[in-house]
Amino acid sequence: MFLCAKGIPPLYGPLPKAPSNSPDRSWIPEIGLLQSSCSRVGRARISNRVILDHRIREKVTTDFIQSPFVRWSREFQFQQLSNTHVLNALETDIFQSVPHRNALRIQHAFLRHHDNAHLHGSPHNRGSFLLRQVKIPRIDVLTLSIDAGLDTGPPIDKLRLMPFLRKWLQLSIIALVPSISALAEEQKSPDKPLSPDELKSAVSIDALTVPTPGEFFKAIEKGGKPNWTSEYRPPVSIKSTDRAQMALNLGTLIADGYIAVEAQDGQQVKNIGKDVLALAKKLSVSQTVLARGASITQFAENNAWDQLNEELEATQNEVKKALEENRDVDLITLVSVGGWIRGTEVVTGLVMQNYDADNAKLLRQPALVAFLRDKLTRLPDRLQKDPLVQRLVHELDDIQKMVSFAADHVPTVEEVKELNTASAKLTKEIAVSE
Amino acid sequence: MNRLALVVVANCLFAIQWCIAEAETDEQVAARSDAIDFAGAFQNDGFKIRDGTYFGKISKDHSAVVAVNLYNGNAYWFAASTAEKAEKLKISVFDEAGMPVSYEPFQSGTRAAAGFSPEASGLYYVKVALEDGPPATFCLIYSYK
Repeated sequence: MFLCAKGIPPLYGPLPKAPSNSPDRSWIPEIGLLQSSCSRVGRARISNRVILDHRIREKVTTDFIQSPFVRWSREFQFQQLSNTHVLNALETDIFQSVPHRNALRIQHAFLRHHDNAHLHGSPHNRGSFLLRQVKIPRIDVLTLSIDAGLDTGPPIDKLRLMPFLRKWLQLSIIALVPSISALAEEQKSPDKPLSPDELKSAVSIDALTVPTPGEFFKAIEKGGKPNWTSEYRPPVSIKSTDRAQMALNLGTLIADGYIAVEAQDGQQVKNIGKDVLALAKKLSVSQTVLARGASITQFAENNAWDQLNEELEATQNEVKKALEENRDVDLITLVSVGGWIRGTEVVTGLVMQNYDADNAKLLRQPALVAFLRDKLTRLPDRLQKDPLVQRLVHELDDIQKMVSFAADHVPTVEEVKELNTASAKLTKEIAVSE
Repeated sequence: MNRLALVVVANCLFAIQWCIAEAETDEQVAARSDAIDFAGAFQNDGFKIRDGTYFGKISKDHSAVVAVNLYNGNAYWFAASTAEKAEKLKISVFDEAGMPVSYEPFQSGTRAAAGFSPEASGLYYVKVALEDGPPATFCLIYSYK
């Protein structure tokens, strides 16, 4: 329960007056007093024991001082209640003082007010120094060896306390910084490393573990718009009857679709869409996949490139789902492999055109190639014996070595070229019908 | 004729069995619906949601870890939902060695997300954990930009 000192006349004479243009809220012009909070039992005089009150409610600071250091069987309140913002005193926002300090005219790292009353010629500074000096000496702080006689002399004589108090506050804050930053660091990364069991049981699924060509292409666009049309290739023959080859070709064609979308070439998207659906038909996928053809054409005509990107991924997933339903699960891997090989050929080609270290680092994908290669080696015997699959497994070994470099290594132009040659060779082998 | 009938019956039985095995449960459907709804917030920010999803079962003692291959330069948001009550879900991201990486976490009851921008392309692990509540089915999706 606080008693407000407002309205009680001072017993020790008038306090220094603030200039009439001072916006200092600690001055109450109506009564000619400093706006004090309240003191329960003072020394029969108004307690102006308010520190650091310059437009900030430093409740934490004052409480910190108050609790361990204030003695003399008296209890002081350092909070300053405001007439207009009474409720603010209940909940202080000390950290807001940092971003707000300019507006609050605080020009010191430790919330100290500007001492030079005339430096900026601002009316805000005039008089505030004096007012603050009046308040500070009225604090009874045991550790600073201030005795109770402080309030007997004129307040202005006690200015010697200011450097001590400031220094003490600064040291307190500096001492708190390491512990606060340690706490913040702890909250930043509280996760424990994965256990060997968790690493071993990590799930790898085609739908999430294998990125889409669109995702790959989006990453290379960060360095500027690439010349996508330069990566077009002649139409692919879809006459082959080899199901493994058809599945691989389907993957490369879907990657071509992404290239056409990135190039924003509606006609090319429609052409590729037709080829994709023709191959899908030959692989006996369901009618739902074929319905995607109409959507692709429609989006291409409307230049809806974002939707086309999603539609291509949805088409690829529909094909995979249909293959699964047709008990052709093994072909799903081949669709993914085909897409990745064509995507790598395109990205390496673009990196070579305009070499950039960040783009070259995109080619680091050891785990992805290992995952795809592992799936190829688990294919049933009839597919394992397919000459194209055999060549694929063999050449993926070499490609895996090329993309398995350290995270901080930047592939050179020669290394990128080598990878481009290997992936382009594989794409051609997939496209050529026997 | 009898042989034809037997083949038809066998095929029907196989189809029924296949449907039962592959059908999504109500929890999965609800979780996916909620996860897609949740990820819509990222889509509004220019992120593309991948069509693929992963369903899993988690409890306080058992988390799920999914391997993903990410590209440097891209920004990713992984979002998961259980669409069930009284749960506290959490997503965290780890590098290829299983060490935690710096990411932007989001947690709101049955929903959780993690925003991550890899500095190096390659393998990362996404861990979905349940900090509170009964065992639940979750759906994980991710978006990129």
